[in-house]
Amino acid sequence: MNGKQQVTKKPSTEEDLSFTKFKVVPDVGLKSSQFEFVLGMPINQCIAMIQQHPRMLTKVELKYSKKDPFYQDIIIYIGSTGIRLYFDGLSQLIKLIEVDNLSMITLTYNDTIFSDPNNMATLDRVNEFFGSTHPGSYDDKHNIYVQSWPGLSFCFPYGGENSNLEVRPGFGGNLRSLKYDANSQPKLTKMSIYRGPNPSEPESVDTPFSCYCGQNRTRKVEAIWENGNIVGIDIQFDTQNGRIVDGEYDVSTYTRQIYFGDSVSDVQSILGAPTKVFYKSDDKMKIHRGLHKETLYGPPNFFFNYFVMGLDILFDFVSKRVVKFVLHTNAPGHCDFGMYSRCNFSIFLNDKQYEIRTDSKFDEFSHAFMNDSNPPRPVVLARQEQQPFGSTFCYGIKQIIVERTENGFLTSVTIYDGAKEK
Amino acid sequence: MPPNANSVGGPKKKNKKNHQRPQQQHQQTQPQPLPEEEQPENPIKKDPKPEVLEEVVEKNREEDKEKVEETVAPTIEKEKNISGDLLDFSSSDKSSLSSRPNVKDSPEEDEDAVPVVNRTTTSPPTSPPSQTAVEQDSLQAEEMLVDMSLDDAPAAPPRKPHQRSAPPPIPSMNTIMTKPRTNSVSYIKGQVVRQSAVEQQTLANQVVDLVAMGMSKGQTQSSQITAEKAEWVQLTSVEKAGEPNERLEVLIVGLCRGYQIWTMSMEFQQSGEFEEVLSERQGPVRALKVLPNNLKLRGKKDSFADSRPLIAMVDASSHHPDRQYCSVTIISLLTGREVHKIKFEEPVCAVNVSDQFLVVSLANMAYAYDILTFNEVRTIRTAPSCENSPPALSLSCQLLAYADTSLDLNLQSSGGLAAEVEATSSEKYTDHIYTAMSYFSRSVKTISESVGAGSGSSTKANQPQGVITVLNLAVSGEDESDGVMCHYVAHVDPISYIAFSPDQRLVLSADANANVFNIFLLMPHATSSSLAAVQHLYKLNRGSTPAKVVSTAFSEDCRWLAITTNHATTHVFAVCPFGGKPNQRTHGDTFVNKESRFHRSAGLTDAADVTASIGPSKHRAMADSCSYTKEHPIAVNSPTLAKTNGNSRVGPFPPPLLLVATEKIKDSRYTKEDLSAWAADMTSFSYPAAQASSSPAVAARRRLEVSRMSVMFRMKSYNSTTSTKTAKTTKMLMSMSLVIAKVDPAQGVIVTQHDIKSLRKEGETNMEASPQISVAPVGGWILQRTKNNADMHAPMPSASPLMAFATVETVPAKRIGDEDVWTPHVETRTYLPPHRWIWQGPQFELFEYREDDQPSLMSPGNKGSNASFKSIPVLVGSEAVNITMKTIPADATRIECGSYTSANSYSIDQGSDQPVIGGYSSATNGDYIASIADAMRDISSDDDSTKKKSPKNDDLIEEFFDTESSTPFARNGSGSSSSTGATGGKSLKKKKTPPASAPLPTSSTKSSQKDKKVQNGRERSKDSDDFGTFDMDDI
Repeated sequence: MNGKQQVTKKPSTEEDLSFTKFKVVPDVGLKSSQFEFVLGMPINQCIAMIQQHPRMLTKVELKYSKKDPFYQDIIIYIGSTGIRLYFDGLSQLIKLIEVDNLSMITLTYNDTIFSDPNNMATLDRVNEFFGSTHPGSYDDKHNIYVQSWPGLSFCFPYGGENSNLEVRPGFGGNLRSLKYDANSQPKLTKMSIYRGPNPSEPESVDTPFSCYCGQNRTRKVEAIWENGNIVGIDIQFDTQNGRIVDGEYDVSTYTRQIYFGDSVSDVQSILGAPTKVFYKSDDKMKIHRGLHKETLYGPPNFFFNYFVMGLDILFDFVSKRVVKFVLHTNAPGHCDFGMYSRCNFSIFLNDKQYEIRTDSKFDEFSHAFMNDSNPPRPVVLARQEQQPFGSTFCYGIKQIIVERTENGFLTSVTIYDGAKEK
Repeated sequence: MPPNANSVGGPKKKNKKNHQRPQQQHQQTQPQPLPEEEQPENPIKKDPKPEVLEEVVEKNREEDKEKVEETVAPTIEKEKNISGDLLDFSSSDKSSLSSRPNVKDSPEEDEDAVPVVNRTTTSPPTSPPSQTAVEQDSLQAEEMLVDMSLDDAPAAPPRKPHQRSAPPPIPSMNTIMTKPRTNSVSYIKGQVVRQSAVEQQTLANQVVDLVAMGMSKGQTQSSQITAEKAEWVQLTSVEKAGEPNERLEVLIVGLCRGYQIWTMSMEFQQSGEFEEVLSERQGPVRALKVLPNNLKLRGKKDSFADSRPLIAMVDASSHHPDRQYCSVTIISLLTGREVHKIKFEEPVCAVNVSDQFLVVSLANMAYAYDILTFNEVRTIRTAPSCENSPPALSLSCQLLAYADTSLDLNLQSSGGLAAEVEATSSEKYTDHIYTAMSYFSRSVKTISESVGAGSGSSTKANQPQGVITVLNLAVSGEDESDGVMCHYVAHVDPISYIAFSPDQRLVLSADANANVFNIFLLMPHATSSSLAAVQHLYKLNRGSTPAKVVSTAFSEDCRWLAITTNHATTHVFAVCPFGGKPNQRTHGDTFVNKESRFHRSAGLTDAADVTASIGPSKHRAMADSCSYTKEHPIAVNSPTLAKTNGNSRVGPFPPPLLLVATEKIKDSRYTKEDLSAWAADMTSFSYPAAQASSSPAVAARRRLEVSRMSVMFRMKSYNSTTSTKTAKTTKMLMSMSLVIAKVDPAQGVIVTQHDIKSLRKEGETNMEASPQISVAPVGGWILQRTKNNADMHAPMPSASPLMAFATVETVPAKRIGDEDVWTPHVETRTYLPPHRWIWQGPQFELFEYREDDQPSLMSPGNKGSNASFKSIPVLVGSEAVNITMKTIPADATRIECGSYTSANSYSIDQGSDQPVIGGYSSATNGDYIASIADAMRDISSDDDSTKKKSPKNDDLIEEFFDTESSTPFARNGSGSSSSTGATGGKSLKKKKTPPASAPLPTSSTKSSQKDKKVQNGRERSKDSDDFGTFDMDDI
């Protein structure tokens, strides 16, 4: 349109502002030189990335539903850029990216800037840059006009000052005509990037290969039963396999078993090295362990933290063998939220009657955790001092401990080696 | 006769001192007090003095030599003192020992009657030829006992009573020690060697040597039977079947004719005894391993279940020199029969076993066998071993680390040998560092030389030779690269030694000269070695002379590392399994995580470390300068995301630390072998070419450098009970000791135990100081076999410790209170907390959707402590009564801290859900519940309002309420949205200035919200857009 918008291949003069320049990739996401928000990105990776740039990305709001944390979307709004990320409640992957404040960032498409803070995009420019598409839709209730391309839509407000527009019976069929004043074109107020035809119902997107970054992602974890005992877990996970396809490492799915009694090297050869190793030099639960408990110096058993898999594996200090698994649901509203990715598990109890799933509520299987006479007495966990979320409750039966929030959602499941115990 | 270098005192002195402090060290190991007549006052057959004189002369001579070697020279005075004591000790010891033959018959009877009886009564099959031999044999065993523990006899008149504080009181000893005795009735024991104790001294190394010497001296004199020559020694441990936490220490001695297996038992914290469990006379044995008891069956059938425990042995087996050592024989200890044999064309150099595999290494090949079936699973081509040392490989579970022949860039893991080091800043070590640095420069020179030499093909010459491959043997390998987990350059020069740490995450390696050891942390990837990484954690500077590693040992917690060279020096290093500088904090009493609370609160985490210490640009330069490191492919491909999902394999890693030994334990009695090894190392260093020319097979056929020393850490937890009048508290403490076994040319094997204690000054506040330890010898053993010792053949009695460890004991299941089974297994914390959680802000603010009328706010700064009220879950109703009665539900509720804003605590739910609550009418119960629920509601609302006093929170909450509160408002707001859209810039500014007169919001008054809404119209409109495209109405 105007000549001054054709700032192509502009030299990187403003270094400090370069991070606000985002490349729009329809169907994929927003990318700048330092961040990438792509559809299918796990929430924790996103949080970690935001945390790595505390100066550029500020005023971040994280909104979730306490009532239904597993099915309501989680929203992250980055105040300093106007980017809003919608995460699917269950998979915790980005399903919709919105930019609703174009006055803070610069957007490019095919290396060309089509919107910057001083010169925000208008309908004409959008049309010019992105080419022809199907007719947009107009919501006369909200006075919003939405122009969509595959995986990308733009939202223009009408009304108010610019209200000199008119909807007319138009071009035959169901097409109508929207007439507006070309001199006071509405400025772009919102851009959405999503997968599928309709931004209000974005299709769920699986994690793109580029987000694996050499880590594994858990598909499903199940318990392995043998003679009435859980002897290990069966992990189905995706990981990059070292083959490069189209410049990216190919990802394939593996199913492996880790048993109690496996060694460190067993675990490392199955899952790779953990993100962190945590030595339990101070065990708060040792008070429940028996006589002399006050002064018992336990050997520092250690955890392998697979944060990205939502999985912890505890090793005995002396024998260096697996004694416990902890699976995390990464439920928002828990103080660990943001540490572990969600682990999708399905643990059947021994009689196959009850199944503990990541998103099941405690009430669904609580019968298994009580014996007839008395209601179960939970262990109350505060976990972290001064955390604002309130305590969680742990209920256990042999080999399995579930931790639930006050409204019944699971936050973690612990499976421990009970072979030595009755 | 081993000369003692450190004893300075002449014979005169010795005599003078002879009666001043007769027994300085007596570890009481004797169960029953020895009869009087055993004491050294008995007529002495040989006068020890001439011997001693001669010896001392030799000693002095030797000492000059020694002093040259000594880098840390102890003060002479002290040395004298000690040596005086020692000599005295040795002489008295000697005299006592020399008296032994005279009194042979009488004391034995009462002292160790049990074995004798056993032998004579029940032992015909095992004990060789005649009754007399048996008798003699047992006597010999007896003698050993006496030799080792003679000084401990409490009743000797000239001796002072036991002064040491360390050994426990005698009565307790007795009770402890009687146990094995009674056991011994059930089977025939071999030799049992008790510990002879040493007093703790600062310059303890010398002491222990002298003791050993004294003991040995006495031994040779007394028995007049020369011990069989030992060739090699190996300390190892065997897990108990079914109880992997229990370990039995095993010492294997290769003698010039046959072998011996000893087990070590530690009945009490410090004293211990070695028991001979197997002793065979046959041809020489090159390697012997006890196969593990805990096997991973996983449904597979163990075809050798009837014959376990097994040992694997490489013996000469043939008189033809070319065919010697060409097979590995698996022998059952249960039946004594050979159950399997693996034959090779070449001599076997070494055998390694783990709980899954058996790896046999030849000169430049290694064969892996399944431990269950002994089927071959893999053939590995390894780099030829350095000179005479055994092939450099290490096996741990299914991982095999070996020296590879060349570097394969496709397989190479990221990270690897770092060129630069970060020296530890302690002044004390400065000079050491200096020398170490000079060695680096030397090695750099050798690189450049090698580059220069191969000028024709410089890339070829640049190929590093010290390449390590870590292979997962569990992966069936059709292709050579299958199962490779890590592949990296560990040294520039060829690798002579590799060892895994007990947690299988660290790999220690040394090059041919073994001046500097490298420790790498393995960070494998699930599938591919090219996505894996190795982090160079430490460079350990051993010394300046070339040497060969004969044995290394990590302590169980991987915090201590002992390296023994063929120069008979044991270097003890303090390392951290997670890297970083070892200091008082990391090497204190308890095991700690890498980052202290301080580190975390200061944000000094890994990533910060790297950039802070070297800076990214320099790191880049570093990586370029050293071609052996590799950047992680992920970091190259997608730099923006690489660090976002906690992939520990993505660098940059901090440079390795250069460490020097915290302590060196020198064997001051240099044996002939030590010196010749030293000399050979010095010379071979200058003629490497000559060695290289001989083919590896020939090299293997030559006598291998055998490990004449072996080291092992022992961790022992023990209960220390302190009882006062009222209470008895038992503390479980860990003690660590280092056991060093050494082949002695004359006496078989000398084993010494050193206590390792960390020295920390009272009130030491500088946790960053380097860890200091004291190494105090506490005892020693001499293990030997003479012609009087009978063979102990393979079908082992089932009570023998080695057999006992191989049988699974069916322990009655732990009795557990019905409900508390799971309680101790609750994990309160599974990870090292980040320095800030996201809910701590300030970058993140957390909001809950406004649903129902639950209290809804969650924002930073709003920590539980700010609230003046809290609510915690409680049990109400019948269960509460229990509290007043005796049974307090222990698990019912400890809460550390928390702001519990919900009105519905769990227990109340429970109460109302359960209709019948014994002892209480439902009405009262309901009242309870209602009142408490009310109270809680009050508390929670109070809670909220107190929180809302901070203006910042206010604003946030306000915003939140506005946007999400109710649909009518939102829709209303959208009407004015057009204006905000147009004047976005302005309204943004407006937003930045918080409304000064914002009324305090309460969830009950909608009017105040409305006011606010007008001011924050911008916010509303922004959020109202949500409703256009994305359905938020149900929120």
